[in-house]
Amino acid sequence: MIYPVVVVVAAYNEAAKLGEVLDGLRGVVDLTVVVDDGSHDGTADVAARHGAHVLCHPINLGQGAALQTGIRYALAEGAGTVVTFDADGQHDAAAIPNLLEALEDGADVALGSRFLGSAEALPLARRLVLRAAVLFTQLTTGLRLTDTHNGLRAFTAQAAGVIRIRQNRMAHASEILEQIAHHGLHFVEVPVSIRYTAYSLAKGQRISGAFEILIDLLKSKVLR
Amino acid sequence: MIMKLLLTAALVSVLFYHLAHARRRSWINLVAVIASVCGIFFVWNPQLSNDLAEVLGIGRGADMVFYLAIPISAAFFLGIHVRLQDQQDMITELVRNLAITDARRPDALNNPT
Repeated sequence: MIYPVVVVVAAYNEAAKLGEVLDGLRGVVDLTVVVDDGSHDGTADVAARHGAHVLCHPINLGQGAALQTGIRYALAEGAGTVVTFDADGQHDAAAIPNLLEALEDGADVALGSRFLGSAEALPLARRLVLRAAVLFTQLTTGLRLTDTHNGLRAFTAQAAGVIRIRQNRMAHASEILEQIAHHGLHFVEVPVSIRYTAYSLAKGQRISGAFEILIDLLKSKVLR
Repeated sequence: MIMKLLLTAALVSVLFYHLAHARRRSWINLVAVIASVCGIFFVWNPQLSNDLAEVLGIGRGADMVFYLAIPISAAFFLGIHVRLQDQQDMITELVRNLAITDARRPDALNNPT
């Protein structure tokens, strides 16, 4: 049973865009959970005004930590499916039914792929880093994917329950894939479109963030 | 002599600090205690460090102390990093539980009590 569908949006200082994002999700999912990761721009109030369940981290921990908080809450609320969705407006809520269809067809996890779909105005440098990440993931997990760092994903409740995100910051995307491989979860990639805007590019990761992710992943291998 | 006294005072301080803060199964404290005791011993017996260095084929005692300090420092920093990571994990769990416990639901917002 994939219903109810709960979408988890991790948000840090996203008051400017979040309302529009939440309005787009209305009618597509059954319940929206916004995890405000220590924002100081009124993000939580915007989320509340737009009908979301709002969870506030009193301090900023990172997107990975916020997603794990939201996933745990979603499961406690009885979610049949947990969808993760970015707060900066680069995802299209219209893609969610396609992800759900993949779960109904038997997948445990549906991963959005901008390279199977479309990525409007994707800068070349970012495209190259994302391609390198795909290669890295293939080497470290054996998973053959086209897009490894897409925040639009859907998990069955069972799959969401076995995945434990311990990477608080941006390395969580790679960690999720490692756990999919480790638990032998059945996944499919679903074409999605990503809209890069000046806002989302400014809010998104820097290219140097790729090195930070690499260091976080290596540290986790050595120290955990 | 002044340098020997200063070094001894510093190493004794380190020794007492780690003895006072010793925790069960903390190898950081153990390494620090052993390094401090060895340091005090070699400060007052420099010839023995030279003799030991010669046996190990390193050359001078000062070189041996320097070489040993590198892996000991590395192990020390690694231990501190692990401890910080453990604390970060605990803080994350605490923050997460607080956020879930204090979740704001839409119905609560619409019908404040």
